[in-house]
Amino acid sequence: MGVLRMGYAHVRVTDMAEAKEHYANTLGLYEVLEEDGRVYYKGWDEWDHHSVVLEEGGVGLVKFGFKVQYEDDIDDIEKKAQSFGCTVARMSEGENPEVSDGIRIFTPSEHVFEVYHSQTLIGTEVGTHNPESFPRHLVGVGVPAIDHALITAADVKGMERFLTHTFGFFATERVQTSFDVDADHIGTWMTSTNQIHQLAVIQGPQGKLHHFAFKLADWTEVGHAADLFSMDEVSIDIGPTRHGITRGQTVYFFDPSGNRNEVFAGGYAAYPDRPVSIWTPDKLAKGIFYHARELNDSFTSVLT
Amino acid sequence: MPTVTVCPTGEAIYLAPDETVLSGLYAAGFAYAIGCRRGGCGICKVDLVSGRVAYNRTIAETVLTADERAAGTCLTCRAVP
Ligand code: FES
Ligand SMILES: [Fe+2]
Repeated sequence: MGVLRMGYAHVRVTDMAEAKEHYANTLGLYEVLEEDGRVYYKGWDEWDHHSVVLEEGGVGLVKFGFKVQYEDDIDDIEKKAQSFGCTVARMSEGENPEVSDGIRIFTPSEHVFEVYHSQTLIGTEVGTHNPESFPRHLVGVGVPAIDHALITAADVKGMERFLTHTFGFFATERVQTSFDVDADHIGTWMTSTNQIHQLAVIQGPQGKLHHFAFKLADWTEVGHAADLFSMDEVSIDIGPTRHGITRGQTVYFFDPSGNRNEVFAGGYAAYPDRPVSIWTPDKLAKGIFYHARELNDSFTSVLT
Repeated sequence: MPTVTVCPTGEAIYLAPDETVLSGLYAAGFAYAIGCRRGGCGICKVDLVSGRVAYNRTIAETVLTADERAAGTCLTCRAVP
């Protein structure tokens, strides 16, 4: 099957105490491990050991982990990444606590993507035996899981080719300089499953993080999350609003170190044979923020 | 009372104790490129012509380098006069 999903986001934070307050008490992630200056979290509906790793010192992205279904997928992806011209290193089991062996790819966009086939199975907070629909005592927003991320790269078309070639991703939506087949790509939203996007890439500096997102169910939950952000004095970037691209409902906000987070609901089912939706720069503002229809430079320049 | 003077008009803005330069400027009706308001993205920098600001929170070196600090660059969302 290849890549199942983006399994973890590992980011730097300037102040761990504040970051813990945000990720545990505002977002409601479950702390599963604290070790060597890193704190590991999972959402209540995630079964693997962790999906968010915080590391004290600095700000911005350390790496992402992508989970594949079978051990053999690792060798396959390693070959494909190498044939694309990427540097790939082997990583051993336990290099990341509770994560299997795998590979570390240094991408054309100068990000680090780790690919692994298993994590220690913890189970969701409701279990599998006649499970309840949700845990009774969720904290704050109570996000169930991480969802996707958006990164920046100098060459978006190149990254789309890399993700197609190496991960078997396909694009669901794109921002192009025009509708022409030979147009330049400004952004691409990609996935390997029915999930509308697992990773999006927009034009910008190499190696940067735009945001990583948590999954919510619907508008009501997105609105409730925004209410909690006000209560906790979280810096809200924009929202609640809708994205034209993906049709998702959203709030963009910042963690206490300035890393952008998102809560994201909806999005339609992705299929590889569905024609790609294409947006042009004149309608990009509507594509990003469907209601405000205004976009300033900070959308692409506020990064960590 | 901590004061920020805006160049070139010379308009004086009075801040509450521990209020950031960004907060004071926005409250007074000034607008410029800002982002995270949390000291992470580095977009809210202005030139500090004279005077001193303090940072009560940790700022990543990648956001505001020692050279920039020395040169008088002010990260307004975290800077307190
Ligand atoms: S607004 Fe992001 S560093 Fe000040
Ligand atoms: Fe997003």
